[in-house]
Amino acid sequence: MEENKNTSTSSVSKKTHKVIQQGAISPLFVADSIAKHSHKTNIGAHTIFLGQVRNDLIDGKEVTEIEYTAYEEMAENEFHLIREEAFAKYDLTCMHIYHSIGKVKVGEISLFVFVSAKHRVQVFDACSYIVDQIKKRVPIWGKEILNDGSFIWKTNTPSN
Amino acid sequence: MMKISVLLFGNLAQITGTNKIELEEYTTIEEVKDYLFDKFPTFKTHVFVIAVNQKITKENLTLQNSDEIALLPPFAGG
Repeated sequence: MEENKNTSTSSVSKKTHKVIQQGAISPLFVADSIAKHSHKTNIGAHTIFLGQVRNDLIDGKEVTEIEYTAYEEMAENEFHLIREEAFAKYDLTCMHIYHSIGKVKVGEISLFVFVSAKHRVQVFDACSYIVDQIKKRVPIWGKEILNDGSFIWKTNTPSN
Repeated sequence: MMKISVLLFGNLAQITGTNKIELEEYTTIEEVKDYLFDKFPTFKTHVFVIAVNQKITKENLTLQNSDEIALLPPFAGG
């Protein structure tokens, strides 16, 4: 009989905090995260990626906000796996990912990826890898709410 | 008694007006799909992958009691 129950695998890094956060990610939170790392004196470089909701034009109508939903437990596990892979592939000191759920308005931040290492070479590639993997693998969906009240389901493409 | 839950997300949840369906009589993925396509014919024109207990699978798995199936439209995170 096929065993299809989800089994946990051993981790390189321990799960720190939940990635999924209700509502937009505040710029003050980003600043605070930077400040919280200043005691980690072996860090020489940070790369920060912020995904901001953009006012795309769809059939002449503007996006005003995105409402994010997620298969939360699976998404948290997938974020954890991506984190593990990044630590295995790149020589990183620290890494944090935060993703919004619920409504995020145009101009607000819905994704915050924060990668730290001793030297800069690692952080650029690691951050890029993490963001690409998030867009491909994490079960999160977005309803793009348009300025006439209608909506369209967001689709990820290699460039967005 | 076999009891499984089917979770719906994204546009699939929106068109059905529900995000969870509990089923009792079906024992394979194909049987569940047939039931869903019959109940919601528009699903046939929608792209989605199936996860069983949070693992994406293309196989026609035999289900066990309390299994959680999810229909996942294309992801749009980030």
